[in-house]
Amino acid sequence: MPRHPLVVALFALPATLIFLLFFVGPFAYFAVMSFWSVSSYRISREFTFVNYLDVYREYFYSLGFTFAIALAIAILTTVIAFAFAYLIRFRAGRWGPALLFITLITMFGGYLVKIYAWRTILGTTGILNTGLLELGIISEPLPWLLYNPGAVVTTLTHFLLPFSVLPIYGSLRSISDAQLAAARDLGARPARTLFDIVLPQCELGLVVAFMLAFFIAAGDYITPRLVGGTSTAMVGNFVENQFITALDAPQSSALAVAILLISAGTILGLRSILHRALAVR
Amino acid sequence: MKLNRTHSAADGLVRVRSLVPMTRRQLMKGTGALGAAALGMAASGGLRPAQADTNIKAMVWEGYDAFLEGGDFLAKNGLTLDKTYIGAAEEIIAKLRLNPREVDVSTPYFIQVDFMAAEGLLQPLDLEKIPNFKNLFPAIVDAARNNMTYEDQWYSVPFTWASIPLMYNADEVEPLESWMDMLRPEFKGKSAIPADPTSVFATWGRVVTGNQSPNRMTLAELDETIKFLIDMKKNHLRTIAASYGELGDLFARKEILVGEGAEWVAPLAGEVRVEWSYPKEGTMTYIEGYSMGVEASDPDAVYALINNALSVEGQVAGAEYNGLPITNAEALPMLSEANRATYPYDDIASFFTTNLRVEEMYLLEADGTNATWDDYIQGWETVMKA
Repeated sequence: MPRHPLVVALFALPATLIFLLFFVGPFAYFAVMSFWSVSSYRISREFTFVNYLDVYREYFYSLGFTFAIALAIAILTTVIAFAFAYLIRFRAGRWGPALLFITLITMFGGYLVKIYAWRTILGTTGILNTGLLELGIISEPLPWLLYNPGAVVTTLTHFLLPFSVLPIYGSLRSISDAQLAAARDLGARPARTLFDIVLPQCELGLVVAFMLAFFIAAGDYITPRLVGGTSTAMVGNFVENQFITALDAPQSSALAVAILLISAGTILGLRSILHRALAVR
Repeated sequence: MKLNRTHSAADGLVRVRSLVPMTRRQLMKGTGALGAAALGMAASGGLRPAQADTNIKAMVWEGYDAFLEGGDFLAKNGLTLDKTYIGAAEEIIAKLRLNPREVDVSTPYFIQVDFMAAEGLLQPLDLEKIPNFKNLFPAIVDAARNNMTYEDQWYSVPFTWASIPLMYNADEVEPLESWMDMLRPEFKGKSAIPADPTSVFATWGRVVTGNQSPNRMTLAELDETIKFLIDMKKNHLRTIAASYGELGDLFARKEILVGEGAEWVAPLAGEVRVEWSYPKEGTMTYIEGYSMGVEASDPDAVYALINNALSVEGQVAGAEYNGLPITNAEALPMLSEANRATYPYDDIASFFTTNLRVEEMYLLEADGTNATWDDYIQGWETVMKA
């Protein structure tokens, strides 16, 4: 039965208010502030583009480096998450729910705990180096396991996997076994079934999984600081530095707005590519 | 629907409602009256317990509240602390600018105190109301005076201090004499500095340029220091520690053998024996003080709290909790052996003049020759980006 538009609007009001208050409002405030400036710890509300010029002049390479790392993490996470979700949905049988439960449990581990866990695994006196030394495979610890971009990718991929598994698994659940059986009966090879039946139907899950991994990785500043070493400063570290140490909220706001816009652009672009690639042939 | 309909005894909730027969219109009117009453009470100061404690808003580094709370001072005096822990001293400046009523007592970075006083963010302190001030080590008072006073008025009073010495794993490294020892080949990939631009520039600026006021380097000197730090970062350091606590962890996990740290980092290294030296080039020190916000709600209560932080009980509580030194000489006999062994209380006067260097505030406005605070921050980002 169609509802009166006023009723619909009334029902949507709480969600709209929350969205405006907690998402649009703060972002709009930062967007406005990004056109202000700071001198002697004092904000000047005169309109200026200088912060965006500085984003280009001072942080161009940092932004590039950050998005390259975030892209690598998002692709890796989405691929592994898809494989794992596929296993749970189609291959694990009655063990599927248990695997899903384990995936959910790891989300309670906490962000910092996972970072410290990887430091314990990859460090000079960590589990991996100690194990390799004990087995006689190496004669000295491998220092390059930790404090480099690879350690950041490893740590963040591990952290983000459960977030990516869930939306993909949700999409895979909507695919009926009958479709797969029909494809098999008609002689489709597994790869054909995957590309023509499975992937197009879980496109949304893939996009959400990728987005979650990409956005979180692009904005992170704790992981690079704790496992990234001397040359893995990501743009989040500069946002933090400008906000907290320099007290330059306008400059950090400009950086944050730039990160958001570039991230959104990247996601839209990649979604379009994925959509075309998965279009039913 | 009327609420005064009768129900069985089993229907408890509605039965209770029906004790006061009321129509919807009456209910709305009653609710409106209650709302108006609540608004009136809120406007007149709200509901308060009969004997409410005085709430003091403290904006401090985590752990520094232990000095204020030392002993049972708060309970005895009917005070409570509403604490906001800071991640950077600059947050205090921002808060005092935006909402000065929200900061009664704070711990600004001591080199910023005279600037904050000049900006009208802090209240001048009446030392008569802080009687424990007279018990402070004269050497510490002298060292703090230049930064903590403005126009001959104290705006902050020192409650602890520490320095940024050269730390090393004493199980594997002999005592070191110079900051340049950190760059020896055997420490390549085995050393670290903290992600703290203030201490990094103060320490290495002095070493690289010889300028004894590294917070006032010329632009050329700052450039030279940045180049040196980039080279050190790329070719020598294992990592840049996220914090001083992280440095302790790096020692504990044997990731590093040497590093630029602080005395209180040593116990964080666990089983690894970490010691430190005060290199011949000089060691940066920082003196922490309590200040009163310009619009503190209850100045007398704040004075009492600050005085407690400088009392024997406050000093011992804060020093032992944080592993930091005291400033009140009278608290010395009450300190643990470990704390007394960590800091050179016996000869504190010559220690402050010989080993330590007290820095001054950075320039905030460009003068054409010297680097400003913005230049230092920009320089640090250049190091991070390289």
